[in-house]
Formats: sequence, C-alpha cells, structure tokens
Amino acid sequence: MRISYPWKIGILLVGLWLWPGIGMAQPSIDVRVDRNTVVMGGTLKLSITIRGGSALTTPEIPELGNFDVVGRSSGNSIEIMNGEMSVTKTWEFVLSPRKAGTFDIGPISTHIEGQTYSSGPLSVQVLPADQGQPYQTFPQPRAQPMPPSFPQGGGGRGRTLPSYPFASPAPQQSRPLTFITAETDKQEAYVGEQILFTFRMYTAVNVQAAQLNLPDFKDFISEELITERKYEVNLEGRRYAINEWRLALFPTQAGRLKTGKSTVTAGVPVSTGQNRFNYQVFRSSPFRQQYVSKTFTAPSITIQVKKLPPAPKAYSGLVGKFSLKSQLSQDQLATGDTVNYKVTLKGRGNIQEATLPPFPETEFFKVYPSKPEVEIKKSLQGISGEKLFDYALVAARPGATQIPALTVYYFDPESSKYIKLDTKAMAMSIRGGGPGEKLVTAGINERKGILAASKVPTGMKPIQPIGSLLFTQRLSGPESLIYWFLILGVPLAWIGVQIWQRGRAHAIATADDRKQSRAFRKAKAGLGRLDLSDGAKALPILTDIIREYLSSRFLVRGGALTPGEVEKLLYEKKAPAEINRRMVYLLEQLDSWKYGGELGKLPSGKNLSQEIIELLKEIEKGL
Amino acid sequence: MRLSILIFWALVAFTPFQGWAVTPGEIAKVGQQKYESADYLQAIASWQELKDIGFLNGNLDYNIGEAFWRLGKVGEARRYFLKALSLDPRNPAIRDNLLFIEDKLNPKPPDTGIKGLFFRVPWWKLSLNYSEALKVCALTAFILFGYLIWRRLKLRKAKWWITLPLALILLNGVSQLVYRGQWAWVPPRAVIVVPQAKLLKVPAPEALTGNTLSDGAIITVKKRQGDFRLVKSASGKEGWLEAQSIGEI
Repeated sequence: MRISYPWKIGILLVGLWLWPGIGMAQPSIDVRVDRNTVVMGGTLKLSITIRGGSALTTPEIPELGNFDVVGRSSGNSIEIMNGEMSVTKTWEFVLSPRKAGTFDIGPISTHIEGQTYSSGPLSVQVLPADQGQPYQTFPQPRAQPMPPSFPQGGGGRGRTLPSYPFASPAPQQSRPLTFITAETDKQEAYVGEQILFTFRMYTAVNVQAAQLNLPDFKDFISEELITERKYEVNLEGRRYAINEWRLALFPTQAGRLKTGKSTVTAGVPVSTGQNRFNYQVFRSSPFRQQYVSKTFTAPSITIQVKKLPPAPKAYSGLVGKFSLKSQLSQDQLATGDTVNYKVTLKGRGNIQEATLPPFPETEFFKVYPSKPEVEIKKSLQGISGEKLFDYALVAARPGATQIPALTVYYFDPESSKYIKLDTKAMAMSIRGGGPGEKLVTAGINERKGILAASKVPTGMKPIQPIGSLLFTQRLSGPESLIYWFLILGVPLAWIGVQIWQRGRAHAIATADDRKQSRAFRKAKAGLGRLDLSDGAKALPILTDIIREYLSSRFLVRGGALTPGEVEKLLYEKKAPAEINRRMVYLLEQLDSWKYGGELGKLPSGKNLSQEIIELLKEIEKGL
Repeated sequence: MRLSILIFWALVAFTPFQGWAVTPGEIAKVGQQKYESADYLQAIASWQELKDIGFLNGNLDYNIGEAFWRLGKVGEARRYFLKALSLDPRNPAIRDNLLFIEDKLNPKPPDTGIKGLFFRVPWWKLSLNYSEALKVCALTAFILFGYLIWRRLKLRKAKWWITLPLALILLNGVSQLVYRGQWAWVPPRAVIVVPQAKLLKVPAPEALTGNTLSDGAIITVKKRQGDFRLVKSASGKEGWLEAQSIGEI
C-alpha cells in the first residue's frame, strides 16, 4: 500500500512528538532475595533497586523483626536516555534469621514525585539448623602481593609481640630461614564477637616475588586492621625480618568454624657455592644466588563459636563493649525552631552495624534523622570507634515535654550478658511565637525614637508562594552582550568625539598660524611683482595687498577694511601708535588717489613699494 | 481528499493529549506540599529540580534555605539565603531571615546613636542584582554619554544638573556590577556547612592547626587543590578545609 506524502509527514511528526514519551523510563522499585529458603545460622541477601528517583530517594523498609542485619552496602548509577537523566540506586542487606518459620519481608515502598511505588512482600522460609547447609556470600579477601624483598640487616627496631595462647605452632627447634604463622587471640567466641587474626611471615634471607593468599574466612566478616607491618626479632640467636598482617574477624554463625589456610609463595635463595650452612658468609658470598619457588602454608585455625543467649526484644546485634551518651543543643525554644539531638555510641566491637530504635515522635515535635556518621579506628588491638546519630527536632506546638530516653543493648562477651544502655530523658520547653517580626525596643525614647536601637527579627518568614518561583532572574547570553555593548560602546564613542573635535581645533589653529606667518611674505611677494608704472592699474592691487595682509595677519574675515577699521584693529592688537597712524595715513592716501582722481600725485612705484614694505616690517616687529 | 487530510492533522495538532512529563507548576506544588507536611528533604529536592530546569530566582533559594533551617542545618540555610540575596537583594524577607540567623550565630547588642541611624536607612533598597545592574549601567551609560556627545557636537557645555544624577546612578550600577559579578580575580565566598570544620595546615587530613570554624561561618576561598580549599574566615583564621565541609555561595 503506498502512503501519500501528507500522510508520511503526519506520521513522522506524531512519531517525533511521541518519541520522548516512549523513551522516558517510568520510576520503579524492585525488591528480591537471592534465596527463598535459608537455614538457621545461614544468611540471605535482600536487594532493593529504585529507578527513576532523585538523589534523595530512599526506600521505606518495614521492621525486619525476624531477621538481623549483619551486612549492608549501597550504590548509585546514572543513565541518560533521550536527554533524560535517570538515577538508579541499589541497597543490599545481608539478613540472618532469628528463628525458624515462614516470614514475609516487605512490602517495601518509596515515594517519587508524589507517587508511591512498592514491591513485595517476599516470602522466606527459614529451616531449622539441622535441615541444611549454611551458605555464605561474604566477599573473598584479595591475594596480596608482597614486596620483592624484605628489610635486611641491623638497625631495625624489634617489637614485642602480644602473646597469643591459641596460635598455630611455629617451628620448634632450629627454625627454618623462612616460615609463616597464623594465629588468633582467642579460640572461643560468641557470634559477632571480635577476634584478632594475625598472619606473620618470618624470613632471615632475601626472598623474591612473594605472593600472599590469606584465607577466605567464609564464616566470618573480616576487616583489615593493618595491611602490613614490618619489624625484626631475634629468635634463637637469628635475626628475622617479620611482615605482619592483622585482621578483625566477626563470626556470623555458631559452631566449629575454621579460618582456612594461609599460604605464601615466594622465591627463596638456594646456595650454589660452599659454606651453605654459614649464612653470614652466604649473604656476602661472591657466588651467584639462585632462587627457587616455594610455598609456605599455615594451617587453618578452628574457633568454637557459641550462640548468643536469648536476646532482649530491642537487641540489634552489637557485640563488644560500648558506652552511650546524648546531647541536646538547647532545651528552650519557640514553635518552628529546630534543635539538634545527638546520640553517640562509642566502644569496641562491631560498631558499624549499630542501630538505634526508632525515635518516638510526639505532638510536640517532628523528628528528622540525618544519616549516622561512623568514625572507625583500627589498631592492633582491633576495631573501635564511635557512631553519631543526629536528629533534627522541629518544635510543633508549645508546651513542656521531654526527649524520651533511648535504649540500646549490647552483648558483653566477657560477662556473657546483655548490657543495657540508656540515654537520659531530657526536659524541653516550647513556647509559642512562631515566625513573625517584632521590634526590639529596648530603651527607646520617644524623642530620640529615630536614633533608637535597630530591630532584629524574632523568627523566620514564611516561604514564597508557588507563583513566585517560576521565572528566571538571569539574562541570556545575547541580552548580556547587548548591554555590555552599550556600557562600553557609548563611552568609547564619546571619547572618540572628544578626540576628533580636539584634532579639528588643532588643525584649524595650525592653519591660522600658517596663514598668519605667510601674510608678510605674501604681501612682500605681491608688492615685488607689482608694476607701479601704470598707477591706475596698480593702485587697486596695492590697496588689496595691504588689506589682505591685514586680514590674514590679524585673522579678520573679509578684506574690505576701512581706514577706521584698520586703526581700530591695530589699536586692539596693541601695535605702536606711530605705525598705526602711518598705516591709516597710507590707506587714506591710497583711497584718495584711487577714488579722488589724484593719480597725478602718486609717488614713484619703487619708493611706494619700499615704503609699504618698511611699514609692514615695522608692524611685524611691533607685534 | 487533501482537505480531509488537512482537517485530520489540524485535529491532531489542536487536540490536547495527556503529557508524559511533569510540568514545573506541578513540581512547585509538590515542593510546597512536602514543606507543609514537614518533609523538608523532599521539598528541597523539588525546588532543586526547578533550579536544574532553569528557573533561577531568589525565591527558590529562599525556600530551600527555609527548609534547611527547619532541618537544623544552619550553614546550608545561611548559604541559600545569601544566594537568594545575590539574586533578589531588595527582598525584605530574605534580609530579615539573614538577620535572624546572624543574630542566632553572633548575637550582639543593637546599634544605637548615629551608627544605628545610618544602618536604619534602607540603603539596601538601592541594591541591584547582577542582571539589574547590567541593565541600569547600560541604560544610564547610553543616556549620559549620548547627552554628552550631543552637547559636544553642538559645542555647548553639558548641564550639571542632568549629568550629575546620571553619573551617580551609573556609579551605583557599576559598583553593584563589580560587587555581584563573579570575577576571576575576586575570591569567592562560602559558608561552613558542617557542625565543626577543623582547619588544616596543609591539604592533608592529619595536619590540624587547632582552629575550628563553626556551622554557618562565612569564609572566603583563596585557593583550590583537589578536594581541599584554602580558606580565610572573617576573624582572620586561615587554613585548609575539605571541600565537602563548605558550600560556595
């Protein structure tokens, strides 16, 4: 079927119009678990993925009363499709069931652009411990390459190592030149209790390309305390360089757990010359050294992990030793004001997993928790630190109230008991007032009212309405260019006009100067060329020469100057009086000869010419 | 046949279809609703979205500042109020909120006497934002220098009672332009947005100077180096801070 041209255009236009709508992804939330059946003592992974939200979108997760959260992670990714940006956020929680049975997780929801999206619930079956194998999904520690050589010789500071009663046995007598050990600080622990695992490589010779493989710790959560520590010791009269790694392990289930084997593969030197057993000589031996690859293995350590005794309802999984304190920024405020309530949990143990019970809201204030901040300190003695929970409380109505006490439980392995920590309940007083402004009129005097104290507002103003939000106060690029052109261009034009006018005035002045300086020369040349033999012809020319000289010399417009005008002009120019009189007399004589018909009385041309030149010279001198 | 095709496409063009996108008005409405229901973080997100679309005005920054204040984040609130002030310097609500915050952070006795009188004069009513200053400078320069050129060409002197007011207006506009413009040679201002910011001697986390700056303090940023900023406070304290602990205005 052939489609006519107008239809083709129409289909294309509708398609272009619809295309952005097709391309745009709808927000969504996806919740899943990696397994629907888990055994007591095992774990499962809960994954929540939100697409299309903003950077602040978070899921609303209901209380997971039948599971403990033993691990968590999150991540973001951004997609750009058809010019639209879409944010995908993921959260992963490792859950450990508290009891056998069939439980629902969720539904889990989120709010995006005024809409609610939810997923679930998911059904999970927890089997008793004797009905399956536990399954772990913890990340494996990476194999760590060791440096090409260890420090040799003297000068190092030997350190005293803590004694570990449950270490894997080191070589007993005549220790080898190179060996490794793996040890833990305890052989019995509770689930979640911190265990220090230390791996050491002892070497009395130079080794090459050492590759370390720590165990996978599949039944533990491991946390590296120190990546590598180097020092030296003397053992049985032999100096060893030691490279030490230490990790904190937190068992995730009860039972007889094994750490796994630790191995190191390295190139160890082989003697190719004499004095094989005299290592001092060997080191400085002129014989060439060869290296052979050898693998050292430290056996797995078995740790008896005990189950935690029945826990209080609010117990969240903390094991170790902790303290709790709380702080309120102020206890008296007005409605609409905000105070900060901070709770700090501090101690040694698995503090990263610490949570507080939900903060109870009351009619007096609204609670806005911010993301807890964790400060972890890692040392040779293990993991310690503090976790800060910050709540913003906004006063909603006036009255006397109190911040309720919060309770946290932790399990102390030393006493094998659950210890309860409480914050203190804090009284708070909220007065009315709210946003608004009133004058602070301390000490105001009616007469000096205008000089009285300036006012300070006592509350925040309300927000701006919707209609006042949808405009822009910034100029576009072309508009800015036009305005900058006016700001710079018009003053430049003014400067240009100034320069042009001054140049013109200068040119005119220069022209007048030139005219003045040429007047005498021109008059003299004119007189020189004049033929005074014919008086009738010469007289008008003579008169014109004199009058032109005067007008050029004194920059007078018009050459028809009368004797009276000349007298006045010379007087104004401060010419000597004698010269003035003579010039006026000459002009009157010339006029009488010219107009009076007394040509017969005209003196000889040469005398007249010389007389006039003399007179003009005296005028020049006089000025 | 052609007429019927034209009528068809005309109907298509003028028939209102349901849009897929959310309009800015709806986003603003959501922001207001979230604020009124005390979901301040979502309100901030909605208003920030309007800014990302391209609506740049003091009222949006003002509202975001209000929401941060409700969340107890004094530094962020002050920062957004200062941003709002640069865009809308004659808005009394913004000025009052900033005064309120400054009084909370640095309470001091009110000014009295001649000094108090000077500060009571509403000089801020002459303030202009960058765009307004640009327009005022352009218009005033055009009128003033146009008048001067005309008088010059006529070889007459300009009248002082015309040039003086125009020159004063132009001077005000130029000073506002210089003050509001983000020039490369002017160190930008910023606000501390964390409860306590510890100054560092060198741009490394371990090198402390012992000085701290509290939430809401205004600083100038003198230098940038990776994730660190060399800053100076109003009281003269100088040091390096992590970029995430400050918010530029």
